Amino acid sequence: MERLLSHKNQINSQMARYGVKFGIYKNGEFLERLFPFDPVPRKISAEEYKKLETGLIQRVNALNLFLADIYGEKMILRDGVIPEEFIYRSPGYLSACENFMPPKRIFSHISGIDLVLGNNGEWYILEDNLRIPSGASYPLIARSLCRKCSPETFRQNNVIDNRDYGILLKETMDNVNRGGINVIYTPGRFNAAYFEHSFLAEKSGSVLAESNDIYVENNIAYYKGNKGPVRVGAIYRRISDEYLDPLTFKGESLIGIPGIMTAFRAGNVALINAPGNGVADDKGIYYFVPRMIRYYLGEEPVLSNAPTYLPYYEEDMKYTLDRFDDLVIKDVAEAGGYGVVFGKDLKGDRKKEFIEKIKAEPRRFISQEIIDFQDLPIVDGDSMVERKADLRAFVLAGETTKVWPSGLTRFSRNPDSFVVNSSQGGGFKDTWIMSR
Amino acid sequence: MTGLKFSYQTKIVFSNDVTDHAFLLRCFPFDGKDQQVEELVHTSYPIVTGGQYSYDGFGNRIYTGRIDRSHDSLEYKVSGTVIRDDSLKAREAVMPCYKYPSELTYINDDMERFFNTLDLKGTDKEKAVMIARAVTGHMDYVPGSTGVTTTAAEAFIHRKGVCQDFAHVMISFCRLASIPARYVCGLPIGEGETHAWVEIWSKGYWYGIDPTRDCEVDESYIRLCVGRDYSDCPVERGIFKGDAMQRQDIYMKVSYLEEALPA
Repeated sequence: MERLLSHKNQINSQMARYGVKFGIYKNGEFLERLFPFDPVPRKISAEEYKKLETGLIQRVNALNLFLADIYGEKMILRDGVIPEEFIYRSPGYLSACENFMPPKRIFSHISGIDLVLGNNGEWYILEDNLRIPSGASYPLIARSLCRKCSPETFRQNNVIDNRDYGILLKETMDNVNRGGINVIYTPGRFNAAYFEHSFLAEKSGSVLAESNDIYVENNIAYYKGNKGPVRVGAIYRRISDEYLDPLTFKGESLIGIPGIMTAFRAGNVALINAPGNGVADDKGIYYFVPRMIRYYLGEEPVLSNAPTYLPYYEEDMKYTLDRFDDLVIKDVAEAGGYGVVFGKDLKGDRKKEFIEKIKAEPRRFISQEIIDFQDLPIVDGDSMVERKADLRAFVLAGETTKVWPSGLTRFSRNPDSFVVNSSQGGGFKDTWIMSR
Repeated sequence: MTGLKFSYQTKIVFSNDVTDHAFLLRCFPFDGKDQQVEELVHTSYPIVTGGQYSYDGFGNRIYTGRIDRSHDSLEYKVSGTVIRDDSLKAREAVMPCYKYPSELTYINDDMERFFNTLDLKGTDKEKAVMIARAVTGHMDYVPGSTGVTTTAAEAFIHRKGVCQDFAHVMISFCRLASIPARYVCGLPIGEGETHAWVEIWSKGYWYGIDPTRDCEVDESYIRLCVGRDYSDCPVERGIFKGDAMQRQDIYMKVSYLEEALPA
């Protein structure tokens, strides 16, 4: 372990060489940042992991059943388990996905579930990312660099190998492939996660494609190969729904594939993840996930949500206003750490204004107890400091649903901050799942 | 029962040559019990590669195709005969999305105030007819005063618009009155451009109301496509390469079958 620590700079400079970067937009400008790596791994015991794994699989299975239900029969709405307007007022709901079932009824093939570990030793689900969760490549490359720098660390510790993510990804794509090659479709090198797109293409044996590389004819997608067109059976698209197909969604999108929605609906190509998943991962719907688990699976949720209130319900509104200063309030339409407000940080007119906003549009907000989550040690120069951290677990739904025995542990670099999103300037650690 | 003969054609003219043109059409009459398509001919020019018919999320029949080589216009024609019979109207479940505001049908404060002055009474259909009348009274029909992205709220404030805007404003109010409503694009009897109206859903059935003409929709209207608002179901959408402006010429004609028969 000491050896690993002594290699911090070496690993970070290796990563810089490999181009392990994260893009952020600041004041309208695109900047590429290195994603700082901290060598002290987060360790998760075999026993702890078993519970996490069971809970994550349960959650993702319920979310997939929910999506198939919402774009299909809509039983959960008919049975009054979730109020209809949380679906149809959500920007993530896409009517273009109605009356069609994706291959094998899988909507969220690759889910990124964010968790935090409370000081009480309990894991809490923070949010579900079912659209295009990024981040798997970072622990993957960090692990392989660590193994090179300090092989004995991994001989002395019982860490489960995580280097099979590419195979897992390939299996997930093959499972729904409609005949043809697998493609990872990127919006291009100015995307925040471009490094990851190219890295995962290499690891999963997929073709990396961008706009103009793929076209649709006869409702079949083709890749313009240098030996002529090749049929595409599955597209892991790293571009958001609204830009995916200018013939169906935003007409001005130049980074999409014209006609891909029709090809998808004709059953000729799989889209990974399916469009329309945003209806299941906004912060409003999050509140209802435990109910989904009970409704679809008849089971009690293994992992808890952070205690959450919906101002939409009168008593939750009252609670939110009474305990405003103790809560964190989130705008359900925002992501990536944006639209998150700590009640105690608002004073005077700004506070009044914000409360009016909640009263005017209660459905737009949730409030949550601030979870006292565990700090993790971080190397800072020659000393160690403690910082807030979360964990993004990757759950892949293929023939069966599997959790990748790894994950992205992100930490906040600012000692006072609870926000760990990489777009907000945090760093990351390796996550060791122990085999015993 | 009413027999109708229809033809619809559009010519898109580009100011310069374009290539890699992919497009989607929604210009085929619904084929169901109350509107039965007897005969349908669809042609396009220039020749389209890989054209395919399918359905979108709302159940609209669509046609997608592409023209890769250089061209400076796209022309498509649909014609045929349709038998309309409202007594055969089928019972249908409503998609819940028709109850909620969509991109172009959000209301604003002015609309809410206006809505509160309406004294809506009776069945859903009677209420919808009253809403249509109020919209007709509030707005003037002014061609060219709005565009395809004009929202209901914008049209309402400026008190003018075309059939699309009348339909959007009416849809906003119907949904506010808890009446599910959808946008319909289609062909009414006569000739000229395509038309838009509203259908409201009540107790299992859809009823057509035309707020532009302040009347109920009868068997002389042919439905082409439906959606929450215009943006869900444009008749044509395309994307191409090339630096070109485009102009559209639309012409449609619907006549009664008996009249259309040669004497």
